[in-house]
Amino acid sequence: MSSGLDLLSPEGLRIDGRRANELRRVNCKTGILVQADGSAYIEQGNTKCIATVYGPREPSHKNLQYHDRASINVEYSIATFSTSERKQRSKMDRRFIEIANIVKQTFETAVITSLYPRSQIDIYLQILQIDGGALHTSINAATLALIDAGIPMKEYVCACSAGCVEDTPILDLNYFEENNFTPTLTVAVMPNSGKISTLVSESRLHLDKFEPVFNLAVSGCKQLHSVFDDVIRKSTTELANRVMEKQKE
Amino acid sequence: MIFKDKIDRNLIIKNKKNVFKHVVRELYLRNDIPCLSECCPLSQKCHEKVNNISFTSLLQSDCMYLIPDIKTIELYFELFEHENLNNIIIAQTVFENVKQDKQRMIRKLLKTPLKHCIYFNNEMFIETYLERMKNETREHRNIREIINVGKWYSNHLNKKIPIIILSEENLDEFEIEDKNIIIMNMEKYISHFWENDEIYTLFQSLKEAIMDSKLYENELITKGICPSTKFTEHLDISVLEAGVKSGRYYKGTLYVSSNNTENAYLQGCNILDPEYQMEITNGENDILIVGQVNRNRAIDGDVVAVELLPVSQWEIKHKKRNNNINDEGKNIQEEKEEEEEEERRPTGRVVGIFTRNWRTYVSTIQIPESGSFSGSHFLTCPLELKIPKIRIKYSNAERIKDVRISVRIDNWPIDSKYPNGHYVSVIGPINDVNTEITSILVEHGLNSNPKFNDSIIKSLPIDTPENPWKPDENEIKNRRDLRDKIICSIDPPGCQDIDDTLSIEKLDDGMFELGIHIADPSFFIPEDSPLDVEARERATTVYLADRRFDMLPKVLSERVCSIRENEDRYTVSVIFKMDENANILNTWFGRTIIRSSAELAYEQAQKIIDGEKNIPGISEELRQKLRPSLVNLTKISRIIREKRIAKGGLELESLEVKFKFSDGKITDILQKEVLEVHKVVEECMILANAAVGEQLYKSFPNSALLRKHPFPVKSHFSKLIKSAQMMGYEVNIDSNYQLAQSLNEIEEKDKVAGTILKLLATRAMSEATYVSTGIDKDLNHYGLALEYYTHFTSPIRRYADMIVHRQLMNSLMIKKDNEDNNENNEANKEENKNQKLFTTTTIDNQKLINICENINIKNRESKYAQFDSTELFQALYIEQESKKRPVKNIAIITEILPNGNGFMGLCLRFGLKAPLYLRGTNNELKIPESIITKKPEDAHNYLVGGNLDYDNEKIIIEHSDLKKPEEFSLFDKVEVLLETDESRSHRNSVVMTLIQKVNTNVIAPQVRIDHQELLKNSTNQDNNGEYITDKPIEINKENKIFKSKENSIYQIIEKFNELTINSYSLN
Repeated sequence: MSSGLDLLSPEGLRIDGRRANELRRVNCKTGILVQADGSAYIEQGNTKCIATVYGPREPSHKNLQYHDRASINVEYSIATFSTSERKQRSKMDRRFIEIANIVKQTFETAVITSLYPRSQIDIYLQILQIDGGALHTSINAATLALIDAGIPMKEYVCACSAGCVEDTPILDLNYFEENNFTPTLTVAVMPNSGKISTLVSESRLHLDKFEPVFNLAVSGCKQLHSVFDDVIRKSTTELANRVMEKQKE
Repeated sequence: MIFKDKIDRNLIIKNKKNVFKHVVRELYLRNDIPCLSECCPLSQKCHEKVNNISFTSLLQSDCMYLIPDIKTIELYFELFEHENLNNIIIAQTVFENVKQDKQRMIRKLLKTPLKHCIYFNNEMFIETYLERMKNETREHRNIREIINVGKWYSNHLNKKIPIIILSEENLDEFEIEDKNIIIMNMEKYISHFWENDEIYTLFQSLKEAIMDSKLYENELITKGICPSTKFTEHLDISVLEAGVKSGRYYKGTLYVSSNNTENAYLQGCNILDPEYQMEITNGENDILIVGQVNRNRAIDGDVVAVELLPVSQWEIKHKKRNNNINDEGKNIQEEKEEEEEEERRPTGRVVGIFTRNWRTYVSTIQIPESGSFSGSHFLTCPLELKIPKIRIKYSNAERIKDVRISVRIDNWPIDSKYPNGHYVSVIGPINDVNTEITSILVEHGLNSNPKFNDSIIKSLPIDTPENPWKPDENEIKNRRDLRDKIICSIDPPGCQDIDDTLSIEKLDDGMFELGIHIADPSFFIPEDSPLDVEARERATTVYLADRRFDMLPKVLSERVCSIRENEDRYTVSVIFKMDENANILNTWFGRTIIRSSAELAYEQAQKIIDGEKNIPGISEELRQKLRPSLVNLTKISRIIREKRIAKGGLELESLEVKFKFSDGKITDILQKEVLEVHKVVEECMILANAAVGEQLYKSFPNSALLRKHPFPVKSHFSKLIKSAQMMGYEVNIDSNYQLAQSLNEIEEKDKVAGTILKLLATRAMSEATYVSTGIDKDLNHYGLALEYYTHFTSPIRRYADMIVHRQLMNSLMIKKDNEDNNENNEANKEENKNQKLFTTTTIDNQKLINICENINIKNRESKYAQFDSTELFQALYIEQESKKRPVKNIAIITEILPNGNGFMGLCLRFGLKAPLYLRGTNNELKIPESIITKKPEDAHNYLVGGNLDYDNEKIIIEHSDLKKPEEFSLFDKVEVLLETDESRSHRNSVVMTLIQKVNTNVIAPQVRIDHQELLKNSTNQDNNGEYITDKPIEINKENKIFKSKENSIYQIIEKFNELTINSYSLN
């Protein structure tokens, strides 16, 4: 069997055949769960995530409400079958709460919450399969679900991860690359304005290498933005057509 | 998107815990993999479409393209490296399925432009990727894949260029219609195209080697030997034990030789095997184990079982040829006969391991060949040459690139060339002094943390300048009050931990009362208290060249227990009543309280004895008060010493040196000087120790802690006897008395020879150890010629002395009890019962035995640590000095190395012993030019030609430029250049290079060097120099007793100094 897989071969190819600056295949769909206000399903490579949005609605606890804006509540969980070994995970796992908080902070700035005081917007994220990049996939899924729910946002929030292998920045890391002590950076940007919503890194990255990696991640986000834009436009056009047909009747 | 398709590869991977995991990995199939051929028919060639990647070489037009398969690369890779074979397409399938070292070699090949060798990512290319079919094996699929690559190339290039697939398999089942593709095996290919070329012969030889190795591999596997590493499985312990009982295997501890780490020994086996019909009593009862394979994964220190190899495979002892030039040349006939009678030494191999004795090793990570740290497993090179390299797993290896780390070994699987281990901690940057010292401590298992923990600090008595410690009134009543006596201590200058004082008083009846008063830390440290446990663990104060690690906290060791001048202190005393001929009439032991009149330095005491006035640091009043005592002490101790020598006490030499520091830099290396007052103190301490030893033995014959020095092993004296013979002297080793006599006689005749022989005798001594009389009844002390001996006089820096103090107190309690019994004094008995109970070491012999073992080990290790630190600083000093100018000095030849490789030189000035090589690693002659030109610059230029002859006593060098052959005999003096040999993974060491021979016609000036002169030159030269307090010479390490006569080793060294400083004539 192959011994010592190179994360990045001298020919510039990674172990899954992508080049350093190529994203994995993205597949997304909105409106898959009819009962929710908004829902989206996204596949980035083999990482699959479903996001459902409920709201704005009555807050579940009186103390969770703000008098001047909506509160955003995020729940994040990983399915027991999502990794190669079946593992039971509790929702209260610290890692998950941390990720949920990150997502929450991201959207608190993106969503125009001042329009819905004293109400609550719930975002539920469920990861069905993990192959690296759970965080950025969740953020993307949440964006699409929020748009599907019709909640006004300043802009899309697109997220992507990037890392560094021996001075070469690589985009969109999969499970193997993430686990091999590659420094990882997850970035969420609002593409039009270029504002950074979230920047997460849990590993050591040299300051000199930070800028190229960051720039690569942002360019990845922009690519994703165009994909999402397409998908949203298509589904909205479909919706609009159906409404028009109904009206005709 | 450039991806045409995405596939999920399902793999089942077995991870380290032998758990199978089902893993899914994506694979994106691209359509932009270039063909990398110059004759690519597309308008925009393939490789031009792919930007940002540059390719080193392209396949040429007008030739054939070769596509080797996996097996071909594995077997015949060398042929591809040959210049004849070019235009090779290495498919990704092939690359991924060969071993890592082949991968590295392929990468090298790819980088060479002239080879026109390219790498083709066929597994990621949509046009060549093939799925595995149902029930198809991986190998089959790989072959199909490679053929597919060939087909693709043929089509892509429009059949312009013939494609040859080189495979050792039978590929008939794959019918290939394309006539452009030819399938051949290597033999056919080479014989067809390059029949008369040298590559054909290369191929033949490779093929034969492969055949042999295949057969060999199968053979190995059937024998239970791992083909890659050649190790055999270790036998089960039960099998080993049965084997040892039956005499088939020998059990022992493995020692790796320090000179040649390929050799290891099993020491002290009585090899008397009837099968071999010889009794091996050559004095070296060691079994030699040669090579890593025979060592079979055992590491220095492990207890192993060894099986002897058949006699024909035994190693031949190094024959020192006797090629005396003066004799007529020997007959060839005679020489042959000599060879047949060569002595062979028992050689064996390790078959199993009883116990592993792995410890923490200090190690440095090895920088991989490629220069960058990729992957997670790295080899680390241990500081100690005897230990093999250890493989560890570490994520960010860049971070530990330039530091020394400590690692531990976990296991050594049979198929691994090196043991596996894990990282423990970082010690510090390489070659930093503190790091190296900590490394020394870690390597010897000593405590490198000088601090004591808080619970211990809390329990200590308070002694500050504002609140000084004062003795308790109640306690004073329990002690004999000697505060009115004249008592003083004599120690190295600047010593803070004073644990011994002396006093002598002439009584009215003409008798003398000699008192030895020792500090009393056992009073302050209750048995088994946290401090006691900690001190037991440390066992001794560790003295390194520039610092020391105390056994007890400074409050005790330097203040409350230390007998400072003009302070009341608790002590334990031994008081002898003796006549003027030192015959002991009465001995008194007990707890006392004293007040030391003065903390003297050795030099000051010596001056007082010599009658000097105006001694710095001593007032005239004090001098007059102390002089009578000191003079009497000197007289009495001379008598005591003579009596002991008459019984056989040995006085030997050692190469101890002292480092002088200034501002953290080493300014000089000095020998330890000996004054008479050193001997006085030493003799009194020996007397006290012996008296206490006898007392303990009489009170507790089955549980006393004594110190013994066993008779040395006769075989250890062989070097001494041989060297003496070479100089024309006889040394008698029958008893300590005989040895002392013969050595002293030799010294009378020739001081230099005597010194060197005494150094050799020191090496032959066995180790002195602490024992409990419960298990060991042989208590003789060889070196001191005493029947009972123990350590009593330094409880502050030795834990053994603390136990001895406690046992002594117990023995006094018994004595008192018996007396009380006789007097029927009930009241006293009650009191005794309320006093401290017997120390547990007296009752629990097993505990004492365990403590003795620990102390012996710690002592040994701290001794080795001290040697190592001395070597470290010697190397540092030489490194420092050689930056200013080349360091030259005189060395004496003490040994001729085997095979005429050179000789061992002893540089007395720095106390250094190092080899001087005259041959290189490939046995080529490396004779420095400087023996002709006499210039030190030429020491590294080697003569061309020349002849070297050697025997046991000398090396003779002949050269056309030499007027007459130059002889280097044993004990000749040579001028050498001292340099440091820098090393990354090991400590820097001092290397001696031969400059030239110093003519012995020059007689060293017979200078009677005055003590004062010596002191003036050595101590007061640099007033900024600080002496680091080191242990007083009275330590009684049996091998370090200096001569009582005037000309000590120190003076001989001074003579050598004169030789170097003054001019000496050569030739």
